[in-house]
Amino acid sequence: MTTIRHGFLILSTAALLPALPVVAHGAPAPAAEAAILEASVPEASPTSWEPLRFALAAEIQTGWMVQDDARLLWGRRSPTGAGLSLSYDAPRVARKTTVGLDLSWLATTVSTTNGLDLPQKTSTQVFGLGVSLRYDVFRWLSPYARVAGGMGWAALTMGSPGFDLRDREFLYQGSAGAGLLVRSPAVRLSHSGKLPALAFVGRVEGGYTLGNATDFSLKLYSDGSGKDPIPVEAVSVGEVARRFPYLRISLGVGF
Amino acid sequence: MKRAYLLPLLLASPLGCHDDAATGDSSSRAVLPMVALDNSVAYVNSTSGSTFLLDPANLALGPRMAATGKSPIVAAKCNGTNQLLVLTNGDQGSSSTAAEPARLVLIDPASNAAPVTTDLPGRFDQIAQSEDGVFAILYYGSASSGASGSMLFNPNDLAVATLDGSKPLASRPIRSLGSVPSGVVFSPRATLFGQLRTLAAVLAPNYVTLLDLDNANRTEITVPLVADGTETVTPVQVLFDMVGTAIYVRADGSNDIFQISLAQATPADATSNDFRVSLSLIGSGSAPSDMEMYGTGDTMRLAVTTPATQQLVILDPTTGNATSIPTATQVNQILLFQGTSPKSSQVQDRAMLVGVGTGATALVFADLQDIETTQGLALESWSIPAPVVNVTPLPGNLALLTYQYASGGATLSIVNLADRTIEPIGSSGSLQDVTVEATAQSRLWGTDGANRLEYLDIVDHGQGPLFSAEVLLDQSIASISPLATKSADGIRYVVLEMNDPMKLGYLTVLNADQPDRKGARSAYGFLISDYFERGQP
Repeated sequence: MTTIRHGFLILSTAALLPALPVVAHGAPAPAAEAAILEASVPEASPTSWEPLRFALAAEIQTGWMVQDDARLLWGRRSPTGAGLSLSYDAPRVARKTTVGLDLSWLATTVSTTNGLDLPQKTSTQVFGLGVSLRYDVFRWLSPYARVAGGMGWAALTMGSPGFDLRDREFLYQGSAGAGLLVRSPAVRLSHSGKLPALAFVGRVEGGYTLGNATDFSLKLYSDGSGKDPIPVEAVSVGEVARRFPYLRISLGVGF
Repeated sequence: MKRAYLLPLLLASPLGCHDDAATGDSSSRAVLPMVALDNSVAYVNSTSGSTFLLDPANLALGPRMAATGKSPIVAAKCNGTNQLLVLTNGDQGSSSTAAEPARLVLIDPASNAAPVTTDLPGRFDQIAQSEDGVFAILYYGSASSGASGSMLFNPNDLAVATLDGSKPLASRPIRSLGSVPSGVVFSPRATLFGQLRTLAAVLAPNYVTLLDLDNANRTEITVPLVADGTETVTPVQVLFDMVGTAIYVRADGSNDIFQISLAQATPADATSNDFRVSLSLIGSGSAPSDMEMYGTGDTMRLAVTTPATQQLVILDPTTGNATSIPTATQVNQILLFQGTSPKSSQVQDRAMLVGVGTGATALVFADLQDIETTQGLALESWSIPAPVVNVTPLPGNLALLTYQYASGGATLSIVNLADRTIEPIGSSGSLQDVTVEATAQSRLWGTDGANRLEYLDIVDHGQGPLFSAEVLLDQSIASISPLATKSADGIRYVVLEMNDPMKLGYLTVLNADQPDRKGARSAYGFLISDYFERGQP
C-alpha cells in the first residue's frame, strides 16, 4: 500500500515536474515483501517522452486581410475562425525528424454592419489536409514546416430578414507555413498498456494562404414557400481575391 | 411621342412608410429617384456618384455602371434624346479629399463611351431643359447657403448649356433685383425677327428675365412686373406667342395678365438684343388660375379662368378687351382642344374647363370660336360624380379625370372631349397610383399599393368596352414606368419599382404590350453591384 501510495506520489510529481528523474523512496523492503513489491511497482516511469502517433487539437486561426476588397468582404482586417484538427505522425524518417499528416476543419464567421450600412454575415468552412516535416530540437520543442490544401465553401448574407441576399461559393486553397510544436511528456493512463499514453500538444504556426477568388452572386433569399415565384436575378458583388497571411494556434492532446 | 404621367392619388400612401429600424442608416445607399429613359432606366447614387443603367432586355438585369462625379443632386432624362442628364455639386475639397468642380454630365445608355462632362462655374441645384432638349439652364433655386453648400454666392448666377454640344457652356449672372429665380420657361423653337431661336423666361418674384439662348453673348432683358416694391407678384405661367411676338405671364398676387410685347430693334453692338420689350397689363377682373392661347394673329385670344368669380374671361391682347362669361361652377383649369362638338361637326377651338381641387362637381365645355359674341350660349355644363383632383390630357381628344372621395377611395373617368361623354372606369377604393401612358392605345396602369398591377386600354376612345387585365406580383409596387420604346430584343417593357426598404434596388420588368406574370423578371440588389471591387456604394 505504501508503495502504491508512493507510486501515486511519484506520478503526481512527475506530472508536475516532468523533467525531474524519478527516485525510489524508503529503505529496502524485507525479503518477504519483495515479490509483492516487484509486482506492484512498474518497471518504467508512468510518464515518458515516447513518440505520439496521433493528436487531436482545437485550433484558432486568424487571417490578415491585406486587400481592401477582402476587408470589405469580412468587415474587418483580421477575422478569426475556430476548428479542430487530427494529426498523425508517420514513423521517423531520421533520428529527430518526423513527417506528419493532419486533417483539419476550420470555420470562420463574422457578422458586422458593412460600409453600406447593411447587416452582413460572412462565413467560411474549410476542410484541409496538411503535411508537415518536424525536427525535434528538444523532446518537448519541435520546429516544423507545413503545407496544406483544403476545400470548402464560403457563404455571404447581406440585408435583413425578408430582404436578405445570400450566396455560397466553393472554395479551394493552399497554404504554407512554419511553426513550433511543444508537448508535455506522455502520461500512461494504465499500467497494462491497454490505454494510450496522453500528452498535451500545442502548436503556433504562421504562414500564407492562397485560394480561389470568391465571386458572390447574391440572390434574394426565398424560403421556398412560393410555388411559382417570379425569378429574381442574382447580383454580382465583385470578385475578392483570397490571399492572406495567417496565424494558427492549436492546443490538444497527443496519444 | 409617348409620354407618361404619374398621378399621386393618395397623399398618405403606405408606400412611403418604411421601417427605419429595420433598414438602419441608409445614407450611403441614398439614390436619386429612378429616371426612365426611352428603353432603359437609371439610378444615381447621390453619395458615391455611381450611375446604374439597367436595360430590361439584358436577361441577367445586370446594371452598367458609370461615374458621374461627386454629389449628384439632379438626374433627369434629356428631352428629345435617350440620354441621362446629371447635375453634380462636386466637392469643395479638404485635407483628405481632392476638390472637384460641379459638373453637368450626359450619359448615353446605348454607348460604352465615357460620360460627357462639363465643368460648371457654380454649384447650381436646379436645371431646366427646353422641350427639344437643345438647351438647359442651370440655376440656384434658393438664396440660402444650404442649397449650394457655399456661404457666399450669387443666387442670380446661371449657366446656359447646349446639350448637343454645339456651343460651349455660357455662364452669366442675370440682373439681381432682390429676387431669386423660381423657375425657367422655354419658348418653342421658332423664327423670331428672321432668326430661328429659343427664348427663355427666368421667373422670379416681381420679375421676368428674357434670355435669347441662340445669342448667348447678348445681355438679358429684365422686365419688372410691378412699378414699385410695395406688392409682390409671383409669375407662375408663361405663354409664348412667337407669331404675335408677345409673351403672356400669369402671376400669383395679380388680377392681370402681363403682356410683354417684343418689337424688332437694331442692336447697338454685339451684346445688344435685336428686339426690345414693352410691358402692358390686361385685366382679367379677378385672380386668374389658368390661361390658354387660341387663334392666331388678330384672332388670337387668351382664355383665362377666374375661380373666385366663377368666370371664363376671354382677353383680346390687341385691344385689351375682356369678355367675362359666368361658368356657374368654380373651374380653375383649361384643357384646350381642337375638335367637333355634339352640336357642330366643325373642327374648331374648344375647351374643357375643370375645377381641380375646388370641389366642383361639374365640367364646363366651351366653344371658343365666337364666344365673345355668343357668351353663355357657348358654355355647356356636365355633372360629374365627385370633385376632380387631377385631369390628364390623352391623345385623341380624350382626358382622364381622377376623383377622390372623402373616404379616401379614388376613381377615374374618361372624357371624350368632342362627344362630351364621360365614361366611368370602375375602380375600388384601394387604387393608389395610376400611370397614364399617352400612347395610341392610352393604357392606364394602376396599383393598389400592394402587389396588384392592373392595366386598362382605352383602345376604342371611350366609346366601347374597355379592355383590362391584372398581374399579381411577389412584392408591393412602388411605382410604374412604362418605357417609351422597344429594347434591343424587340420588346417594350414596363418597369415596376418594388417596395425596397433596404434601398438596394428592386425592379420587376414586364412586357408592356403583353404583361403577364409568366414573363416577369425581377432584379434585387443591383445598386450594390460590384461593391467589393468598387469599394463604395
